[in-house]
Amino acid sequence: MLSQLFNLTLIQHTIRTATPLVLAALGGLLTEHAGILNIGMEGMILLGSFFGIVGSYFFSSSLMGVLLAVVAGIIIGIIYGFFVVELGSDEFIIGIAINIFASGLTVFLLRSIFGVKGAFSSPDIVPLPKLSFPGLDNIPILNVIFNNHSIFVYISWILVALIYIYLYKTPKGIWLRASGEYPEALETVGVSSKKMKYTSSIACGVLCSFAGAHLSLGYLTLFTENMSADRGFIAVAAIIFGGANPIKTFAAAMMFGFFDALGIRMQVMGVPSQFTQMIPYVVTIIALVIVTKNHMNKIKKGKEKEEGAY
Amino acid sequence: MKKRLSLLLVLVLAVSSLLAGCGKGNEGKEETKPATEEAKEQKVGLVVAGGLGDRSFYDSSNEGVEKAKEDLGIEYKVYECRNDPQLYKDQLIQASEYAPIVAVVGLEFYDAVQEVAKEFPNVNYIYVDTEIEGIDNLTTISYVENEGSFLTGALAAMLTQETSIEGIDEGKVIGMVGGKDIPVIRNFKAGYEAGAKYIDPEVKVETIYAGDFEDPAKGKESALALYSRGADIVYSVAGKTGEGVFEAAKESGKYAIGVDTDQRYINPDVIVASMVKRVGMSIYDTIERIQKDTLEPGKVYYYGLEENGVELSFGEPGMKQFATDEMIEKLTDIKKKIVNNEIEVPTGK
Repeated sequence: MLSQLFNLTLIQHTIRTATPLVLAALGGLLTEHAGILNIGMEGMILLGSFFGIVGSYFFSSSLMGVLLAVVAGIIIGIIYGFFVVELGSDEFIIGIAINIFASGLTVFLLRSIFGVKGAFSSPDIVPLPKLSFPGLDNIPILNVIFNNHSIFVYISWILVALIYIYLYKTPKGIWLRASGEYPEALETVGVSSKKMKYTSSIACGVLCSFAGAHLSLGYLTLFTENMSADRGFIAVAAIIFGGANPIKTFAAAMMFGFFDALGIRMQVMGVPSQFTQMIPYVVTIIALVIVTKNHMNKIKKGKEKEEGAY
Repeated sequence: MKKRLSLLLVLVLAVSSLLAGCGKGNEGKEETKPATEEAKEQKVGLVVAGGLGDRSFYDSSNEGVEKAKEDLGIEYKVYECRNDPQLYKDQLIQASEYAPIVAVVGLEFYDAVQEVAKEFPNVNYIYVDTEIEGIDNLTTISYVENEGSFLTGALAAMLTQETSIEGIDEGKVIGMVGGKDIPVIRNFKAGYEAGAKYIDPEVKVETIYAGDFEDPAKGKESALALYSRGADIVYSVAGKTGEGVFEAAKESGKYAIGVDTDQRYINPDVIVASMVKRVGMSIYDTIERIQKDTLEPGKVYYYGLEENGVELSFGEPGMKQFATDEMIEKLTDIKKKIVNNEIEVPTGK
């Protein structure tokens, strides 16, 4: 019974489900460090999904799909940055506007470009390649876990490491964090905090477009209206859990993927779907309580220290 | 100043995308030319909870009014709500102001349609896919989806034992991916399971509810889980989520069965059949009844196998067929028995 539930395909399933979350969350944590909590990721993912399909369909190349998605990501990142950084608008309102805009735009373009409503699939859409490492074939466990994933799965793992190094080991990463924490300090050393915020916003657009392209070209090869299906919001939750630390955020996204995968499997075991669909949210609440409690303890300790100093 | 400008732009963005979402709905208002009583009778408003293009339920209802336009000479307008509950009532009222016949599609309208029907006593409401009795101007159409699913289950159970077909293995397991655990879907499940057991009591039926009608990625994951547990054929009863089921079938080299409309064309190599609900036909029928004045308003009309309201559909000629003549014969036989009440199909509602 348990071996049917917890086996290697569960890990595979977890990785597949978590990758779009990981990619989007990596983008969102960059803006989070720059002091912007981006809830527009949902819309950004959707745009990436759509333009990925457009590029792949018309140029018969998945690379062109990704490129077009990235261009869309850059543009929407600039628009987001323009409103939030340049005009100082409320980041939540702009985020919601982007979500509504993306949903409306993709529906509209789906009709005007492909002449269909709701869903578009075609054999002419070229999916992203899947990778396998020849050496791993002989090791059963590693073969199942690491082989035969869509290319963005590996890219997402590399990005976790790169963004960690960027944020904590390079001067630019420090600037980015300073632009969120203490922009005045950044200005005194002659770096524009505006520029750093813009950069983070554009990077977020690009990473969300990766997540979208992965969804429509890597994971599936089709587009349906609102196919991002709240993944952008779950990515926000992963960022908050992970304290915007790339590695912890990655772990949080994997956790969401894991419980999603586990839920589907438990249904086959006869557990009612109402219960299994509740699991990710129950885990969210429990985790939030733990995170907040730890945070409070830290603040408390900090205060005691301060008091002790006097 | 800048803040105000940006707020304005945001509003423009939000409003324009909302308008894009329900463009057709607003057209209804423009046509307020005074119509005579007879001319009014020729108009039909179609209100759908989601949007057209689901290649399934809503599209089928649209085909019905389209056919009524050609054959019965009506005019119609479609009011889409894009799954936004705030629009349900508004769009219903808009449609009621536009036409004396309003066809309503989507379980989501259950409360709204009853309220609006009381406000417009002169409008005839045709509400599809549920049962409401006792409101004089509200006629409901209920599909006996468990009967159609009984045939689907029988077909799947026969196919899973046809090991000569590539990809079908020895095990007798079939699966189903449901959108949500709600009465309609449970009714599908009850018929599907009973049909499979009727062919062979040893066939195992496994069901996963994706919990969403609009998430193809989740549909794919659910179907992959079923295929990995030995299911050869998965019945997709999940709207757009079902698109992911078909992808999973292709990737695993297994098979799927579509729902609501004939979905074989999406991928004839893996979708072996579809359980069709003739939503369009039943709406067409009802409009015809209203025109001929034979409708009994306030009644529930049932559309099962006998009325051809539900049936198995095998795509267009020229598509590769997986069901053998023998199977078709057997299915015809079962259909006859259900119609004659020799087989009693359980319900899941």
